[in-house]
Amino acid sequence: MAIKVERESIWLDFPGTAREEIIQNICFKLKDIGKTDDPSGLYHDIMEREGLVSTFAGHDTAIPHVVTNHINSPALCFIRVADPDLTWHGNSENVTFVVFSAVPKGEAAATIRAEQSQIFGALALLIRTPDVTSVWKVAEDAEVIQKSLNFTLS
Amino acid sequence: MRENNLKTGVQSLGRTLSAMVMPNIGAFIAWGFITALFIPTGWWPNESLAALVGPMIKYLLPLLIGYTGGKMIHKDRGAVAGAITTMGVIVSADIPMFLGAMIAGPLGAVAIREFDKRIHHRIKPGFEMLVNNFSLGIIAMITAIIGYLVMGPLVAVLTKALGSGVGWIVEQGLLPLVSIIVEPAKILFLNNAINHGVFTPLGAQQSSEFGKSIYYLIETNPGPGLGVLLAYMLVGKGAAQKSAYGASIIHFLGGIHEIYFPYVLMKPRLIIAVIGGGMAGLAFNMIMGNGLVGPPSPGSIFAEILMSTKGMGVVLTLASIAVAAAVSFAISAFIIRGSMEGEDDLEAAKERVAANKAEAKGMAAPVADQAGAYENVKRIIVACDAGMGSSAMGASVLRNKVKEAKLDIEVTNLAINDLDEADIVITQRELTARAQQKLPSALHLSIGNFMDSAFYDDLVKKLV
Repeated sequence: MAIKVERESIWLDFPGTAREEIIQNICFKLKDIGKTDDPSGLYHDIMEREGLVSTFAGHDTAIPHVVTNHINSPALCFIRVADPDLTWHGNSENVTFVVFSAVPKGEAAATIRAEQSQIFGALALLIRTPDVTSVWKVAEDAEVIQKSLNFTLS
Repeated sequence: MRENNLKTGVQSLGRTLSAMVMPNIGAFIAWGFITALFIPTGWWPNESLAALVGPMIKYLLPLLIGYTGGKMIHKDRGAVAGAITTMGVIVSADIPMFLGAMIAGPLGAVAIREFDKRIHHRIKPGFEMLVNNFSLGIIAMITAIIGYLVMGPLVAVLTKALGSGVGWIVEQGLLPLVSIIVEPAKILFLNNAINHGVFTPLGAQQSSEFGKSIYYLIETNPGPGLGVLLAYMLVGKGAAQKSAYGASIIHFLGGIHEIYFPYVLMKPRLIIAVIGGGMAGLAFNMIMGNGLVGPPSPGSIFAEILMSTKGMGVVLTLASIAVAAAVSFAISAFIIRGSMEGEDDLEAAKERVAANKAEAKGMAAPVADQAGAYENVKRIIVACDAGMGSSAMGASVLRNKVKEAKLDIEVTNLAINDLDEADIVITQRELTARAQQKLPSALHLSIGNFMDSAFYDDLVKKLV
C-alpha cells in the first residue's frame, strides 16, 4: 500500500471548536507541510463535499475526504481534537478523531482512491475497537498512534 | 421524491455549467484586467493593447469553455472536438458565444465519444493513429458545420431573448428581486453554478459592450454573508459566536462564502437576512450605475476592489458591500436575538437534534423494498460521492457481516458516478436520488450513518 499515515500528518490536541474551523486549520497545516498551495481552494472543495452529506462516521470519528485539484499529492491525516465538546455539523454526538483524506484529481486518481478505500475500510474496523480508540485518546506521542494505524493498514 | 430529483437535477446542471467555466476563470480575469486598463475609458488607455479585448471575448473565452466542456465528456479527444464545434458556433453570430460554447463543446465531445465507443475496439493494430486522427477531424468538421448552421443561430436567438428578458428586468428596476433566487441557491452550494455558470458569461457579454457589468456583483457581494457573521459575533452566543470571528475573516478577506452557509442553516430564517442584504446591495448598484469590469473570483473584498471601474468605481463597490452588510446585519441581529428568546425555536432545535440523532443511528427507511428483492443477490455496492471514504467504511463493516453469515455475495464500494452492475445499492439518504438515477435497476437502500451495525445486521438477516 503506497499511502501510509506519516508522523508529520498526525496532529494531537488540534485547535478548533467547530467543523468549519477544524477543516480550515487542516487546510492551513497542509499548506505548511507542502501538500497544498491553495488552502482556500482546498477548503472550498472539502466544504462542498461536506455540503452533500456529513462525513460524521460515529464512534467519535469524522472522516472528511475529497478528490480535488488543490492538493499536490495524496494526503492522509489523523487528528485528535482538543475541544471535548466538538460535534460535527448538527450531529449530537461528540467527535474526538478526525481522519482526513485528500486525493488529487487526474489519471492516477482511480488507483489512489482504491488505496484510500482500503485504508478507510481498515479504519472502519479500528474505530469500532475500544482498545484502540482508548489508546488514541490518551497517547501523548504521535508515534504510538502512527504504529497502531500503520500496523493495521499494512 | 420529485423535489429531491429536482434538487439533484439542478445541482447536476449547475455543477456541469460551472465546471466548464471555473477552470477558465483566470482567463476571464485576464480579459477583465486588459479591458479595465487599456480600453479608451480604462485606467491607462492604449489603442494597441486594447486590440486584445475583442478577440479574447469573441474567440478565446468561448473556445476555452467549449474545450473544457468537451474535456469533461471525453478527455483530450472530447476537448479538441468540443473546441472545433465551438468554433462553428462562434463564427455563426456576432455576439460572444458563451451559452453556445456550453452547448457545443459537450455535444462535439459526445459525438466523438459515441464514435469511439462503437469503433475503437474494432481498429486493426497499427491503424490506431490514422483512425483516431481522421475520425476526430471528420466528426468535428461535421459538428462544427452543424454548430455554424444550426446551433449558432438558435443560440443567438436564445441569447438575445435572454438578454432582452434580463434587460427588461433591469429596466423595470426589478433586478434586486433576483436575490430571492440567488441567495437561497447559494446556501444549497449552488453558488459556483450560479456565478460561473450564469452570471460570469452574462457579465462578460455586458462588460464587452459597456465596460462593466452589474451581473458580476450579484452573487459575489460579500456583504450579505458578512452581515450574518457580524450579527452572530455581536448578538449570538456559544460556539457559533466564537467561531464567527474567524469565519468572517475567511469570508470577507478570503472570499470563501461557503463558510457562512452553516450559520444560515443553523437558523434558516436568516435566509431573509441574506436576501435582504443582497437586494439592498443590488438596488444600490443599480441606482448608482455601478458594475465590475471582470469576475471577482473568489468573492473577496480584494477581488471586488481590483475588478472595480476607474474613478468612483472602488468607492461605489465598497459602499454597495457596506449597504448589503448593514441590511443583512440588521435583519440577522433581529432574528438571532428573537430566536434566543423564543421557546418555540428551542423546541424546534430539540426536534432537529432528535431527527439528526435518529438519522445518525441509521433509522432512515429504505426507499424501495419489493417482495423477493433480497433473493439471488450477488453484488452489493455501498456508494458515496467520492467512493473512497464513507462508502469504504460501510462496505468494510457489511463485508465482514456477509462473510460471517457465509453468504456468497460480493460487497464493494464505489463513487455514485461509477455505479455499474449491482443488485443492491446502499447510500446515505441525501445521495439516494442520485444513485437511483445512475442505476435505476438496483434495489436502493438509504442509510443514515455508514457505520451503523444494526442496519447491516437487518440486511444480512434478509439476505440469509
